[in-house]
Amino acid sequence: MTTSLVHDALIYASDEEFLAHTVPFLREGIAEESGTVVATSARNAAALRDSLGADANEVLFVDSADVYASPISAVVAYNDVLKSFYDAGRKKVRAIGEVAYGPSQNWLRYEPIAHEVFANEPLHVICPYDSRILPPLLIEHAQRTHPRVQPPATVAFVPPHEMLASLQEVMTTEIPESAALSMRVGSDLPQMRRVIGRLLDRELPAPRAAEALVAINELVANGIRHGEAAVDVTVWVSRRSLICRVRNEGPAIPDPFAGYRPPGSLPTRGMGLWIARRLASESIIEHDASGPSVTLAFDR
Amino acid sequence: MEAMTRRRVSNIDELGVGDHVCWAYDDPDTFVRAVPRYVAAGLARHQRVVCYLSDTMLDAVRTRVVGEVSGASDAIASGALTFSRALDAYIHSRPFEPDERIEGYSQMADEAIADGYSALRILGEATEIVEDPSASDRWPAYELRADLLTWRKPVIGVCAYDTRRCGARSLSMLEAVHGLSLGEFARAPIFHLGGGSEGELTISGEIDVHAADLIESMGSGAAGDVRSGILDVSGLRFIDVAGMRAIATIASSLASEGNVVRMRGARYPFRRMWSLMSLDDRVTAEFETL
Repeated sequence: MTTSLVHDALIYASDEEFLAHTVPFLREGIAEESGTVVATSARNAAALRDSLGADANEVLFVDSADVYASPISAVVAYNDVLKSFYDAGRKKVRAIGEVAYGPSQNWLRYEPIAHEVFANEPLHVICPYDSRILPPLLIEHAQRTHPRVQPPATVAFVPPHEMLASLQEVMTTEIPESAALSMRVGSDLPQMRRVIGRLLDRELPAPRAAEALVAINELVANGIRHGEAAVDVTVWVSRRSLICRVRNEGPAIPDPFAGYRPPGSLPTRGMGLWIARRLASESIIEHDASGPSVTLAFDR
Repeated sequence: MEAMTRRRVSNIDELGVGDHVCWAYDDPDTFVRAVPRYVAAGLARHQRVVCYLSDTMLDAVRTRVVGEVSGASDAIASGALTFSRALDAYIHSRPFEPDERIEGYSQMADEAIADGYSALRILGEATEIVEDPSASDRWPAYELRADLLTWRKPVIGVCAYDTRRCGARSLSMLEAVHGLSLGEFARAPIFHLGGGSEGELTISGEIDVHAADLIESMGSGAAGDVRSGILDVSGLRFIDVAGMRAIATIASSLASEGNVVRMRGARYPFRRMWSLMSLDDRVTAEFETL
């Protein structure tokens, strides 16, 4: 019985090969009364429905575009699906999760993140990779990020912490040259909120401004709590977005998966970053010699 | 973010039933001179007036009241007006017990009504009490429970503090749990906790990590006094993750008292944060609009 994550990759080169592995996998899940969920392309989903016949009614098909809107939205989507299955009494879950890779290199972080944050879930997931259309780089990445690969991998599995350490997040939102505001915050959070809040209220619609203030406040509070000196807050405004960077001197954020772990499993420090990542349109964490910085973008 | 409106009074005479005032004075003479007006207003309204004072003030205040308030001597004789040592009433050579004090005032209010008075009017000069080690940490939570009492019983309460002896931060916390304030406070609170006309616990202003633990402790400690199960958060101008956790803990405390928890007036993004933090897994709350 699956008591923790089984994370497989399926490298396939034909529709038949895809179905030959996924259909029995799902039928076994149905037979053992696991929750079963599929997130894949519309074409593959249609082929699965045809092959499964009546059994397709036992499977939850989710919109791949919704799930894979961003790495954090994929984590949230699978977490929500798992919770709903557990609430319905399912003891384990089987998933077909064909990652819809976006253009950003940040997507390479998704598989190691998912491997880590779902490590203790009773989840068996097969991640299909279509070798006909995906570049060799991604096929090799699939082999490096899954302990089991069909057909067997030609390169070694890289543990998630190690893989993530080699993949720095990059911001795709363009940051203007000139900042709209820069301030140093000692410990006075209310004063920071007054100053930053005025700018947010001016530049963003009210609900977005409220979300941004919550997210920025979390980062600044973290910086005050864990940093060794004042916290630097910089805000840029572009036509599309408001971007805020919070930087402090001090130790690195210890958890490379900070902000990706859903609430149930969180150490105390992670919840603020989880909220910040959820509320922002885009978020990245960077470290330099002096300390960490977190940059959030809020699209209008 | 709007500044929280401070609910201030300028005159000790013009208080009504349900008012709970935090009075910060920096000159004891000012305090002593004002007490007769507070007593006179109570006697004129046929209220039972009880005054708790320090040793150093007790005689001076009693003498002044008897000299300046018509009928004060008769009121003392009849039991309409009493003067007591604050330390005796609250501490009495054993650790401060908030439950005992709240229950005591509740009974006193009931007795005042049974004896034909219109309300119970209390004056507590509490500086020495908050300096007592057994009371100082528990005092703000006690004052919150006192505030809730003034909403459900016919009570008027004035709690006086000498600003030369009470620190600015302590006074700020005390002001935060009184419905009204009088005098000059060096540091305004950015949040407020108190009662309401439907037996609710109201939480307003800005709640962040600096105050979340205190708010959680005070709110949870008062859960037994929130008979309606209503948490009114309509006055919240800002709340962070720590604040949301505190509110969820308070809500859990309300639920454990057998209440259906009703979260009233949550403004965006409160409800979104509640969902993002999966707080529904911890406690079930019905969300109500105002």
